[in-house]
Formats: sequence, C-alpha cells, structure tokens
Amino acid sequence: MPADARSDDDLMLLARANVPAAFSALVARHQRRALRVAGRQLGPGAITAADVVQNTFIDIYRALPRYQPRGRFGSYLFRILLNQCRIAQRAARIEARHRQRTDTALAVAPPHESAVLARERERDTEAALARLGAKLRDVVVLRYTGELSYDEIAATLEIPTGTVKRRLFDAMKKLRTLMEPT
Amino acid sequence: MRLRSGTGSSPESRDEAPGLETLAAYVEGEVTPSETTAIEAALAGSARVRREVAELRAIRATLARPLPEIESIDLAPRIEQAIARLPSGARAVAPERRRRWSLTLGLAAVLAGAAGVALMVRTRAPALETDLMRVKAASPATPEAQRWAGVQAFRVSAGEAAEPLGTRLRAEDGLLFSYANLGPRPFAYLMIFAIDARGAVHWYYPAYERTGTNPASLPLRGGAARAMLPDVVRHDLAPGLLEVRALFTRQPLTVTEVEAWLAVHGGSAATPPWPEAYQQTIESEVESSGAKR
Repeated sequence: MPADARSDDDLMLLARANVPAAFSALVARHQRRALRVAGRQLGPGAITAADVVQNTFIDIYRALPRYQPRGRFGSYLFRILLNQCRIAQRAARIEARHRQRTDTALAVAPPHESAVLARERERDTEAALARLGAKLRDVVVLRYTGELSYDEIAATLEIPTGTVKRRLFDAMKKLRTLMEPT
Repeated sequence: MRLRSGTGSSPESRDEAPGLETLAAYVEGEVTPSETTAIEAALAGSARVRREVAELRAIRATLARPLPEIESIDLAPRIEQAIARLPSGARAVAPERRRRWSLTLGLAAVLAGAAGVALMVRTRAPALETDLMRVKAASPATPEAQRWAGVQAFRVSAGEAAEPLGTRLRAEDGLLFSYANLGPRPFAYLMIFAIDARGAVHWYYPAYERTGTNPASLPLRGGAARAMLPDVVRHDLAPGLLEVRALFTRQPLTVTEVEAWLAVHGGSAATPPWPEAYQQTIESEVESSGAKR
C-alpha cells in the first residue's frame, strides 16, 4: 500500500519502525493545515509559523516511541501545535516588552497610526482574534481555519463537545463585537 | 440550543431579535428547526439581523481563507534535516521485539495431541509439524483455550492451489484462514492480523481498508471444527519475519483498541489485556518479490 493510502496511525507505526518515508509522508499530509492554523494563531510572520510547525513535528517525532494509535492523530498534532504556538507567543511578548524598553530609551520608535488606519478586513479579523482569550481563539481557529470537526476539537482540547460549541458561538459573538465600528 | 435574544451590542439588540451567539449557532447550522424558523422570520424583518448574519459569515470566511505565503512553505526538507541532527537517543527507534523462541518438540507434541488443534492438524501434511513448532500461545491464562481454539493459515500463490503456510511465503502471496472453535465455552470473537518486519500491522479479519473506520472483531461460530474464512487477503508485506496473530476473545474488540495495545506491548509474548483472551502466533519468513522458494 503506498504511503499516501495509509492511515496516520499506520504511518506513525512505520516511522517508529525507522521507515523515514513514513514520517515525511505525515509531514506532507498535514503541514499545510498546520501552517494555516499556526499562521492564524500567531498573526503575520510566516517564519514564526513555519518554525512553530517544524517544532511541532520534531516533538511528534521525539514522542514516536510513546505514540498510541487510536485514530486521533489530527487531535494529537493540533494539541502539540497549540502548545508550540503558546510558547512562541510568550517568547514574542517577552521580546516585544524588551524592544519597547529599548525603543523608549533610544526614543526612535515611530508612531503607527497610519498602519492602523490602513487595515483591511483581514487585518481587522486578525486584530480581533489576537484580543480573544486563548480558550475562545483555539476553538474558533481549529474550527474555521483548521477545519476540524467538533469531536476533533473536543479531543484536541480535552473538553466536552458541548463546551466546544459554546466557546465557538461565544468567540464569534466577541469577534463581531470587537470588529464593530465604534 | 436555546434561542437567546438581545446579546448584541447595538441598541437595536434590546428588541426580541436573536442575539449574536444564537446567530453564530445559526450560521453553523446548530439550531433546532423551530429556532431556524424564528431566526428566518427575524432575518426577513430586521436589517440589523441580516447585517449581523452577513458579518458573522464574513468573519468565518476570512478565518477559513488560505494563507498562501505561509502554506506554500515545504517543511519536509527542514524537518528531515532537523531530525538528522537530533542526538541518536532522541530519534525514533523501532519497538523492541522480544526474542523469539521455539516450542520444544515435547511441547509441540502436547499441542499436537490437543484436541482442537489436532482436528486442524490431522488434515495437514507432515510439514505441519514444523508449523506447530512455530505456533506460540501468548496468553498463559488459557491452556484450555489452546486445546479448543486455533487458526490455520494457508498460503495462496497465483495459479497454485492453497497450501498450509510453512516457514516461508512470497511477498505477493495471499493468505487464507480457517479456525477451530470447540470446547465447553467456545470463543465469541476473532481477529487475525500480521506484523511484518517493518513493524507494520496488516489486518486480515476484520478487513481494515479505509482510513477513518474502526472495524470490530469477527463474530465466531461455536462448535466449529474447521470453519473456512471466505477471503484470500494479500498485503504489501515487508521481507523478513512475519508474525501472524489470531486473537480469540469473549468480547468484541476494535482495530484501534488492538493497535493501541500493540503499540505499547508489541512483543508476541505479551499477554492480551482482555478477559480470557487467547492469542496464537504463527511465524513465517516473507521472501522478497520474485525470490525462489
């Protein structure tokens, strides 16, 4: 059976058995969606999203000996990806604070009002998304950007399906409110 | 979900029109028929509701929009390089395969004398004695089970009659199975799978052909001395040692349950965790395609 036709679990088992093509096939199968989710979670900056997804796959590779094939590789992948996104976001916040201090000291930080005025809808959405709490953002990004089912999101976040729906509708309400012109 | 009203942020939301959360549920198709009717009435009569639904749909579409500058990145080469740089201890290793052992001739004779197996064996050529030496029972809890239950595997080559699986088979050969399920308490379910030299699990019964499915054990007929299973199944088997395993159980199992157990306890000597389960293992050697037997 060609690698393309194998299930994720089969590919993980083959990768564990030192078949390198199996892990590459998994990366090829999931990288686009993972990059899109990371891109939405982290906002502009393709390099960061790519780094985060790369770290995610490396984490998965390291954990191969412990992987349990239960038909939920997608949820497993996105759980690790969300953790990696949080690590990247924390690092970015620390860096931004540091940069702010430096910029203030050197008094060279230019104002950004013009950029704010030039935002398009996409950027409005990104900005609103960035202001959502992590719990709501995770659900809305996994649902609409990652195209995961409610059950997959529930397994990824380890919460009941009903909670997934409540958070999704709450997230949409908050996004809409945040994007409403004042 | 219950219809909520007035959760919008504009002054108009104080009316009885549905709130934003309800509209978000409507956009997702997660409202009841009666809620749908109420919302559609509100849509017909309120410009605000129409605007909110359009905005919610636009947000959803924006979030679903591809990010070509990010998605066009091919990470595979970077990841392969990063894996190659990992310290060897951090790299994936094949699960440890337990040292293989052969039953002694004496134990083989005991097995051969056991009624259930003997019923299958009697029809077999002398070569079967070699097979019996390779038959291992991984479940120590049920010597009685070994006596009454078991599978026999047959190798099916293109254009040739089926013959009992011996010490070798070709990669392109198919396998056919029969089972015995006798005794005072016959088993209720059976699964047959094989683990090849790469560690890949290949399913014979139940058939596991489509990703996303999770087929369950085959129900068994009690009192069967030699029941043939209908299909000749061919898999892409890696050259090297092949372990064919038959798992007899009292309860139905699913493919993912068994694979989860295999991932942790892959060795053929591991005891299946299901009550009174009996696992029979038959070993053979897969030769490369086109190799002479």
